[in-house]
Amino acid sequence: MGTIGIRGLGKVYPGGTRALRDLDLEIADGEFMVFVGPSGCGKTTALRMIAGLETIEEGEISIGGTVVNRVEPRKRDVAMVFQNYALYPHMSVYDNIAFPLQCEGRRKQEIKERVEEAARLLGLDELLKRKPRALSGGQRQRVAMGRAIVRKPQAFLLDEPLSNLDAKLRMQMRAELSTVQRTLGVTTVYVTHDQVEAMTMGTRIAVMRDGLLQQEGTPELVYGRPSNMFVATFIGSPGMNLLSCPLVADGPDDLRCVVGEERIPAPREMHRALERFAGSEVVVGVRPEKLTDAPRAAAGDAAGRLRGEVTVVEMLGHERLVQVELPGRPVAADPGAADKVTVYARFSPASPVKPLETVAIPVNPADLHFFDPETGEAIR
Amino acid sequence: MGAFRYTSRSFVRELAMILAAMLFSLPFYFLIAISLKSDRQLTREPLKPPLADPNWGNYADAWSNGGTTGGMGRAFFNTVIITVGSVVCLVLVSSMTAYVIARRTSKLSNGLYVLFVIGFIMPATLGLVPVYVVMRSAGLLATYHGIIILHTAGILPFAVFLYVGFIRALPTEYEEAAQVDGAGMLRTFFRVVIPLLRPITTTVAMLSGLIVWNDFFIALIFMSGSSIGTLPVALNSFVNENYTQWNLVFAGATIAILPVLGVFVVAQRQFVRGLAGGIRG
Repeated sequence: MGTIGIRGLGKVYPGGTRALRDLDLEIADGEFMVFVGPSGCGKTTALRMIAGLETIEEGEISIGGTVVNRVEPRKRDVAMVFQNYALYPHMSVYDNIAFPLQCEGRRKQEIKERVEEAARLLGLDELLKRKPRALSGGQRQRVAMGRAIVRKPQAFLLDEPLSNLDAKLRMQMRAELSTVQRTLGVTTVYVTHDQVEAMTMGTRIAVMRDGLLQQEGTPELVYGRPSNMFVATFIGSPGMNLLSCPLVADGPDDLRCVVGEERIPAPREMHRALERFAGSEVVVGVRPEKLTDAPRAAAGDAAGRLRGEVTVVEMLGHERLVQVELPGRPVAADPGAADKVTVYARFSPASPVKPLETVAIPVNPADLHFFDPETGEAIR
Repeated sequence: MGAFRYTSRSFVRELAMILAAMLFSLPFYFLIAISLKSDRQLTREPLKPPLADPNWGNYADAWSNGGTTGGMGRAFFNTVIITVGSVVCLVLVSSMTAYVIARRTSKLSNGLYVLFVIGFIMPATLGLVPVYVVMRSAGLLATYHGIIILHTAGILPFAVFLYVGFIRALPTEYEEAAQVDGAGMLRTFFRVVIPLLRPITTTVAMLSGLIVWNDFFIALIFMSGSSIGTLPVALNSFVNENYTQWNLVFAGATIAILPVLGVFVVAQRQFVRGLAGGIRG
């Protein structure tokens, strides 16, 4: 069973830099877990600790139910794909893939069969005699994957394996990797800073920042119910629009966010949680795809409006990405900063919207997210 | 089109380079020319090329008569054994030592590195007498393994210095990949690290091989009175107090430099890459 248990994991590098703090995660057998976060968030450190390439001084890691804190990398029965693939440059593709089996002391015939099987699965049959330097980026990536799958390990550990590929190839390899993982059913831990990879590949995502786990859950959960402002803005491209605005009680059972002249109603089911913020500032979030040029009626009866001036319109083919400047306060802005906040909206490609025009974008209260301006945590 | 391919600047530059190359080739011209002259030609027209009547017999004479015992043929054989033995030992010991020093970040490995650098800076002749005494009491004087150990130890600091610099610039990912792939320390070193060190190994082997091949002083001191004479010692025996056969000396010198030249021509690219550093993968 390829379950991976991470309990209270922490890491301080020599020199005092803390890379990881109190990480707790259970990764089920066959699961595709993605660690995502910006540079320096501790995701690669966590992966390297699972692989055994970093020592564990705080916490515990178990693989297949066995605690592996003091187990050498070669005895952990995991396979890793490195960011730069780390293909042995002096060995042919065949020898690169065969290397882990040679280390296990397998017979030549068995090695040949298994290398050929892996090569077939990854479409490398024709390249087995080549040296890594004679391969394209995508082919190298496949060889690295071949070296990982040939051992049939308990877990795959993938450290930003697509980051060196161009956008088109990355998309193709994303799909191929997902297919291979599903076919083999091997537990996979995948590290990336690219939230699109995280969303498209992971069965579960762990969002990290400054060595701390921010949120973990399915892509739908992390996207739809971000636990704090960081997750809300990090996941999604563009991320969630956030604006700081006063929350006022316009009457009993009627809380509204004030954005310029507009007073947008807060959803009724949130009133209880929002009551303590009435009369003070609250951070409101709304995904760009919820701000469209659809008629107001589509946003529901209770819809409010965000009125502002268009500053930039980007035609993306299937939509127009529109930047709108609203009379509101950016989150964590200086007290003296101008009261303008830019939000992204997704308009239809047929929209005639132009820069410097004033638009009124309908907003459905149910699409609003609320965050505590002090802690950044979601208000629920 | 037949256009003149030089600008005035590139013409002058190339001309200067050709002249410099000719200047550097001049000693080789004298070496070959004199090595092919008879005693008579040498005294009557020492600088003229012996094109009409080259005396190839000088090479045969030098090969069989040079040195106190066994001629240059025997000295050549001895030098090959000592050079190959020293280079193999040196490459093995220095690469392993440097690997540990470069990859471990402990104070001990830093201290060891400093020791090697000091060894690299200090003149070897300072320790000559104590080394001689130790080797004599260990029964290592005038033996193949004795001189191989001596050369290995003597060049070790320099080789370690070169290897450490190269290994530090080498990404650790290859070794980490090997570890995760299931390789132990020895397999990682011999199957993954050693092949990655090929450029610097070529450099170390060529430089140290050259030092050992050309060594005169150590061979003279530590192997005197034995049958294990090396090429430079054998060459020296042509130089007599009263009479020196320069044509034989030059023929012997040509024999001595040919293998070195051959190795350099074959491994030139690796040698330069080793000095420049870097791995293509």
